[in-house]
Amino acid sequence: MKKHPVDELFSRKLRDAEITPRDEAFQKFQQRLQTKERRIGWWQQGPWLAAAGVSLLLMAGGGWWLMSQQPSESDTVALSKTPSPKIVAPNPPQNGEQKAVIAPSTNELASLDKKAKAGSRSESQVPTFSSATAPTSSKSNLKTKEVVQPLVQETQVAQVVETTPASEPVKQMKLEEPSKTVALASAITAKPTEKTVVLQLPELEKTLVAANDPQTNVAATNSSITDNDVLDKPRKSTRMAKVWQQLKNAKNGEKVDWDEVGFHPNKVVAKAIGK
Amino acid sequence: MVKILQLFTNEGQLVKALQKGDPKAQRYFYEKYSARMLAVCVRYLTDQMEAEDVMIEGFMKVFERIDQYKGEGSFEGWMRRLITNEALMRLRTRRHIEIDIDAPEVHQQVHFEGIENNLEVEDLMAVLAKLPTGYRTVFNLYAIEGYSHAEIAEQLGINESTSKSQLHRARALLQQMVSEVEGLKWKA
Repeated sequence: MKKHPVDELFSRKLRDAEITPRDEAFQKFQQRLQTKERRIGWWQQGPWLAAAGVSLLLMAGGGWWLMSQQPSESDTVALSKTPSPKIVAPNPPQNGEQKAVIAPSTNELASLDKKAKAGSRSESQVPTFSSATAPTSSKSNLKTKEVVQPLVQETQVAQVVETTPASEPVKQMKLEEPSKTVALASAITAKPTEKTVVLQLPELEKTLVAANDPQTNVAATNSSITDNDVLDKPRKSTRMAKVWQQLKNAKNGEKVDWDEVGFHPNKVVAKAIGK
Repeated sequence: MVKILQLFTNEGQLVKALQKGDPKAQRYFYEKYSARMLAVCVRYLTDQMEAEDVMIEGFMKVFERIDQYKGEGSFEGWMRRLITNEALMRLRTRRHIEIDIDAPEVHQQVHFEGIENNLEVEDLMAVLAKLPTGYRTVFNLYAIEGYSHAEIAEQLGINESTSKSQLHRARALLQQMVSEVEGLKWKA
């Protein structure tokens, strides 16, 4: 089919015509290429990114595993700084209960009892102290039961205080006669509810000291926890940790237990292959 | 630059390098095709700055879709089609394509033989730029790009008969304008 002369003229002249673009056009082209590379670059670099990501994960995982195997100083500090709430901030009834059992062996209780007598009943500790000393001194088992029960309400405590008017002389008498308190303690241990109180005695001595001295409060709790809880826990000892420990021993000039390492240098035999 | 030219002497090598996103190949592609593709864009849009923008966008499309080129037909023909589509898209977004149905009929028949050799590319481009957008677009697509009326109708969203009438009127106007330019040149 023959082309129209106008079509033929324009097609022949203009089909392969060229107009040189300005320099600004090339700069724009370069900018577009760079923005395109920046926009799609991170997923087009897929294999390299994947390799980098995997190696980063492996490194992080290995580091975490090593850290978890070896207890660092920060771990023990973190553990010791998280004491159980009953030691740092004991509940008022429990506090009174604990102190009540220790009361005969402390002289400071006398001053507290004096405060209680002066009428400062608004404080929660004071009536419990006085109430706690009262049953031990009055030698009535019924009253000791009431106080030693774990959940003692303040109203009950107030009643006990009212029924025991003179606690100070009785306490002095107790200090003079420790055998009586022992007998009372044995009487208390005879009942199942009171057994728990007697078992708490070793801890309570520390908590009482800590409570009376606020400056040493944190240190005391820290040391008690690290001594009792952290060290008593059976630590998971892996092969890596054992080897690490022996390395530390060797570094510090201490004796190296080769059984822990897994081989003994004197028993290692070199294998020589001659060709 | 000499090294770059030596690297892509073959069109197939250039396509492979473009498929890998080679920056050197992209620069070489620009150097080789930018002038020709800019002329294509100017034929549709008439404004050179706008045509440069469209050409760059078209080149980005070429780089994005280079994997779609399977070696069937010439690479330049495939690329030219992408650039043309980009120019048409620009016209469509700016609502430049308005089919001039009510344009005046050209009754003057110009004797066309023997005068075209005196016309330069710039003269023909200027004449083409004076055409209404609808005429020019249909004439470009049919006479220079080689589209059929069916393809033009599909591309522009018009009837085939409208495409044919637009082409007829475009031809007549171009004949008239070319003879005028030729006459002016002859007098000069």
